[in-house]
Amino acid sequence: MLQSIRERAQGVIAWIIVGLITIPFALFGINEYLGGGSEAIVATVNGHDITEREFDIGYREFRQQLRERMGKEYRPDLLDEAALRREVLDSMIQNTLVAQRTRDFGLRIGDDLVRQTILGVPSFKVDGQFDQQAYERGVRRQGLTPAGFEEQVRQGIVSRQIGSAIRLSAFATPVEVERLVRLRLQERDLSYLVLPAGGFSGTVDVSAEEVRAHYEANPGAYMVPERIRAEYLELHAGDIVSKLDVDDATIAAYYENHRDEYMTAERRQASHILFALDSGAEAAEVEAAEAAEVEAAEAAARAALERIRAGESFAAVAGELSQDPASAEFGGDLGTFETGSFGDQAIDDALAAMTPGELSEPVRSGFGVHLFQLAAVHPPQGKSLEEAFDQVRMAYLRSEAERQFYEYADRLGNIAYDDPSTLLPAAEALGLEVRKSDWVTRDGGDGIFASPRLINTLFSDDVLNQGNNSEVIELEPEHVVVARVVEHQAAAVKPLDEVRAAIEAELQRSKASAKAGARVNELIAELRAGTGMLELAQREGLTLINQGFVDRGAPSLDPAILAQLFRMPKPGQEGQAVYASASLVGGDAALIALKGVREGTLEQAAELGGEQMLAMVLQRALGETYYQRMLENLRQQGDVSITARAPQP
Amino acid sequence: MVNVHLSEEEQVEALKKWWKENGKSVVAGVVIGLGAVFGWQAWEKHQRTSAEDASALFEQLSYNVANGSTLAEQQARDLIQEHHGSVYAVFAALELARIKVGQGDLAAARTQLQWALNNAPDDSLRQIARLRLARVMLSEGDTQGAASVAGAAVADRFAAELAELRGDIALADGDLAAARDAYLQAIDSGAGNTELVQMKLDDLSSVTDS
Repeated sequence: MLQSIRERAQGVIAWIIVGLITIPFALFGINEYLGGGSEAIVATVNGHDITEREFDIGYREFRQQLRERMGKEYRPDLLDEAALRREVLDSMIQNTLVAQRTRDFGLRIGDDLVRQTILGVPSFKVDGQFDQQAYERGVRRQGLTPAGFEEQVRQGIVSRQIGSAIRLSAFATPVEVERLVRLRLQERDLSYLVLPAGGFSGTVDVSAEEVRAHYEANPGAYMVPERIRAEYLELHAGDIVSKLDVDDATIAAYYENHRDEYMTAERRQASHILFALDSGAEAAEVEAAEAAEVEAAEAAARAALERIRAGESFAAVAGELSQDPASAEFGGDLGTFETGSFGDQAIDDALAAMTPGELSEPVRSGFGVHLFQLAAVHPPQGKSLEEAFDQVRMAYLRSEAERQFYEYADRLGNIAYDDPSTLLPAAEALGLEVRKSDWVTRDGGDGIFASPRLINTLFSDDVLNQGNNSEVIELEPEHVVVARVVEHQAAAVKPLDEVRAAIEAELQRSKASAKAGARVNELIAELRAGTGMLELAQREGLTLINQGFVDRGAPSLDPAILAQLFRMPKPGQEGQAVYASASLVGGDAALIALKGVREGTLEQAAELGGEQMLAMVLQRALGETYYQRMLENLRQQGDVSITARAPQP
Repeated sequence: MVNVHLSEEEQVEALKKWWKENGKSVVAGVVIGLGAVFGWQAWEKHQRTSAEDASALFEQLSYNVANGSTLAEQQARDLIQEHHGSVYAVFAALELARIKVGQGDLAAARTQLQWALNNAPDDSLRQIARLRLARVMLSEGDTQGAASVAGAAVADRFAAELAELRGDIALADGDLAAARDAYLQAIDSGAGNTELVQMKLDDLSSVTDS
């Protein structure tokens, strides 16, 4: 058989068949190369790709969490989007690295634990019970299949295991805790003097050369930040109001449409007795059959009317005869109502014709036959058109302005976009005034320039460098602005003349401070030679402050003195004081005498929550540090490459 | 193998003959092959279940350690014994060392940390075990042992912590200059607990700008 196939396979047709069969094999997988099947990649971590899609989902989730965490504080316009995206990418890379390491370590999670974890997720519960549908819905919302989600949960647990293995196993030995206590709760006994720098300022000179040298050596200290001036068109619904004109007829029409905002309707208070017809409103259409019934009802009504006329009270008769169960027990009282409340013209007409106190003839309505007694008519209350004219006019203008505002904003955007090099056409078309701002820096300014959105736009490439009009920026509801940059100054060093005085003063201060410091050192030499500190202070006209023992956090002491104090060598066995100088923030110089050191003790620690507590704090810090170091190692030793599609730092 | 010019009877005869000669090896081959496949699968499954068991034990252990339960010690020992080839055993040894430090038994902690150091599967875990081991030895007063353990460390992101440790060792040996250099290096490399290292540095009685 093989032989015969081989013989016949020499023909042209056979080759064509083979050719046809070849094509699908040759093209198989070609879409990979044409780009249809491949996804954009933002980063590769040890050979594993993080796709743009995965990143977008991760970023969306992060924003969502941020919104939930911050609640009302959430202000998207204040967030640095680029930095956030970068942060999310970093954390995704880190998660990938940890996941890969768990695989290398052979860490695994059994299905039981995965199931337990999923069963415990609050958002998958309905009335405290796990709900399969809620679960599937929740998983789908994250763009995952249940299997994919379970894998994610599994990975989450396994990654957490590495973290807890390192964090939870952290410890601090008793020696280490004791040392921490000794240092942290150490107290030092000091006396000190302060030499004001001001006392030396008369003795120092600052030359012009020194000023220039200082100016040239520190250009960064005398900078004017980058700034711009903007032209802008501001559109406010309130501004449109003043441009609108309106005739009295329009106001009257507006009043009619919004009458209930200005005036209550006429209302009546009445009672009735109803003799119902079973067939109700349809009676008219089926006249012949119902005529008898209507007649009977009317007769009953007349009889009742006679009884009332004869002196019986309306309420008593209503209570006895009325077939309107809702009102019968209240003597037929219908309460107070507006015309039209019952939806029956016959009733409205009958009541309109009556005067208060009057008793009606039988009235045929859709409900049946009524007897009415009108108790009172409440005339409309509120303001008439004449009385409320100005108010109505303002309300009309405001609603009209609101309507037109969006139209204007639209046109403003379009015109400003059509010719992005000027605001004049938009200003003319909309009757707006082009205003010019004062200098504004990237930090923003007053008024509308306090808006971070406007500032960001003004300093964006499109507006700042390309010189285009901005888009329409909504500052608040019904308040928009379009702006363009008309002047731009790069950050620059202020001219020397402008800052000369400031530099002089500064140099003067630092020279005086240096002199004070030098003087302190002379005094220290005297103290070491045996002069008493009190004696010295009196001679120099300074106040000796005997502070006593202080700890590292002493709030009453100048921070510079405190920092220096705990850095000074400890006094020797003989109890000889140790001296040092410290330069204070204002330029004054301090002379510090350290007279004794008391190491922190475990008894003191007890006052601060105990040795246990301190050990816990220390070991937690150690555990966290070691874990972070491990993550840093993973990142450093891993092969991580970030593509150009990734968010840039 | 099969000659096309032979008649059918001859072919059957040839097959029979071939089977007689090679049948045993074919059967043996198939049996060995299938055995290997199923054996491999069984082994993989065993590995997987074993890892999952270890994982479940570790979860319990973590829970008990976090809550300070007395069960933790025995659980850690069981985990180390039953799964001594697994990374979970290394984790358990680290936990056990902590429990021992808590009990004041530094020698036992040292044993566990040494075991973790020998069995840890990657550099970072080894560095952690090493740092802890050296710290325990230093707390016991064995500065030489601590120095030799710390000295074997590789250079990586744990540099600041190692520098701080070297400073502590030097200080315990009374070598203030070396201690100061090491603490400065720790601060330069971004120590995790900068404030504490700074306190240690400041306490070296080093400032003499009088």
